Amino acid sequence: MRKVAVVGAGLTKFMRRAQETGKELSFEAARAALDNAGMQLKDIDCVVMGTAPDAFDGVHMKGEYLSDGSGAWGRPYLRGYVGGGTGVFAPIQGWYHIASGMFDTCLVVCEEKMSGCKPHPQGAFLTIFDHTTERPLYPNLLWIFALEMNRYMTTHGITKREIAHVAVKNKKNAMDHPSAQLPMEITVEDVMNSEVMAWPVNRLDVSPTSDGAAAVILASEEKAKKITDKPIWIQGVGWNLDTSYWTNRDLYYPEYVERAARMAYKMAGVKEPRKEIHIAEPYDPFDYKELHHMEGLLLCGKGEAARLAVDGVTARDGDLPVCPSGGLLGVGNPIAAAGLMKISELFWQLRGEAGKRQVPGQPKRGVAQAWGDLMQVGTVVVMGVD
Amino acid sequence: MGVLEKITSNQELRSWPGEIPLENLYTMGLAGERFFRGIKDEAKLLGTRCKTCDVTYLPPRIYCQGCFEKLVNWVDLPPQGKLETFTILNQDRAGRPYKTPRILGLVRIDRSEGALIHYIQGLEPQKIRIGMKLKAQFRSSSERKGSIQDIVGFVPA
Ligand SMILES: [Zn+2]
Repeated sequence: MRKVAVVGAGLTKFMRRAQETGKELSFEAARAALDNAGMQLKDIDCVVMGTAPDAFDGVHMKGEYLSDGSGAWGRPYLRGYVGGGTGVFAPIQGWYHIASGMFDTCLVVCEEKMSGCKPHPQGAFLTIFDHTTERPLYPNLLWIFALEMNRYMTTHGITKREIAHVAVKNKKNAMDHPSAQLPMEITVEDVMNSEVMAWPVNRLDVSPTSDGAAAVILASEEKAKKITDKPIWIQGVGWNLDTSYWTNRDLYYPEYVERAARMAYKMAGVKEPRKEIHIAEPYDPFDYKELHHMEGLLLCGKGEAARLAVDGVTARDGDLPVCPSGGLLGVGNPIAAAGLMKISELFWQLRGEAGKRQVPGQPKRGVAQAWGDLMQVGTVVVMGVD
Repeated sequence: MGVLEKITSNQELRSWPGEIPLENLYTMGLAGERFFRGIKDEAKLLGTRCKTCDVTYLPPRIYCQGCFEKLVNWVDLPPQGKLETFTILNQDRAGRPYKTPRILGLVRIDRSEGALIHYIQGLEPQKIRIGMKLKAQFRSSSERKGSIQDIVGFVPA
């Protein structure tokens, strides 16, 4: 397989309700990524679009609908979708387009427009549950994640207060992100006192719904070196799906994330992730998920992540910066675009171009991860400077 | 004998009715907002132009799909064009016959690369010819709401 690099990235602002259509958001992000790489659309060989349920945009086959805004007119085009895992899966799909030798450049665009979906975009997920044993009880994702959070807390003896440190950190990190929707300085107390939605989940434990788009450009080794002096290499990719018999597994630990991470680390030659990963962007739609995913990514032992958050190890200037972007909790959660925002963050951080968000110490390698479907998919990308 | 062969009506199976309960408030978008304001406020068709590619987009886009430049050059287009193809509708979507057949046409708008589909009015089906000139008939200003239905249909120019 050929080496593949990221050579450019671009984002729209993430916002509650965008004036732009999904096509227009896709264009803004794709154009920004081309400008960032100093490229034109004619330099692009193929396009990958990552976007979550059709129901969000209210357009069936919305991959096709979004294609001309994504630069796909007259090109080989693929739309991929693995729920919340999409934003880190799309660059994996772009990676194999190039690693295979079929293409030299790939524009990867992720878009989500959730604001139009009524009464609430979560409605798109009401039908993912078993239609006879679960749906008649009207569960929504928030309730299910509350079950998972409680199981995780109880198994390890972790408190809500400890977990709240993640929300405080990420929303503060987002104050330095120009795309951020919910940057704010809050305290653990604020999180604890925010409205209880489904115990143990409070309002400030959760990321918002958002409109937004993100794009990155991938290139083969030969092309990448012509495009930029600072290509950031995709060193490893991994993805894995657990069973949709979700009630038949123990929710305290995301096995599927670990399997995806092991696949990516093996490809990247990473043997000791705790030492060899310098910066992490795990998926954080809820504050406990950042911790859950750090454990699945083998960045710490099971049940140890909360302590790292409380002790400041995962702060931007800590030993292991986690979500220095501000994550979904702070930058926002336009599902697929949020995952690709994490890939963009690693790109800028590893190039030393993250501005006020730059983590100290010239990080050499990072990992990004997303999670989705019925709490069952893990998608992982390891990126580095060589 | 397999299960499939035994069951001739799915009413015999225990079933559970359900739906995906979603509605959408669709965004007009930056280009759509301006396009439909043109129709509502001034009964005119607006396009965007890419000089590099020599293309005029109708309905307008804020980007050129060919060269991916941002388009800022808005142009007024004549609300008329050439009939490129048509169909004569004898039944509605539920299969009920129309009392009078309706004609749906694809009208390529003059001075643009774009076309609109719309109903053709004021012509007997046997008088319709591909290539004929048609113009948009707008509703009166008080009736216009900023929708494609602000155009009643296309009539002979
Ligand atoms: Zn053009």
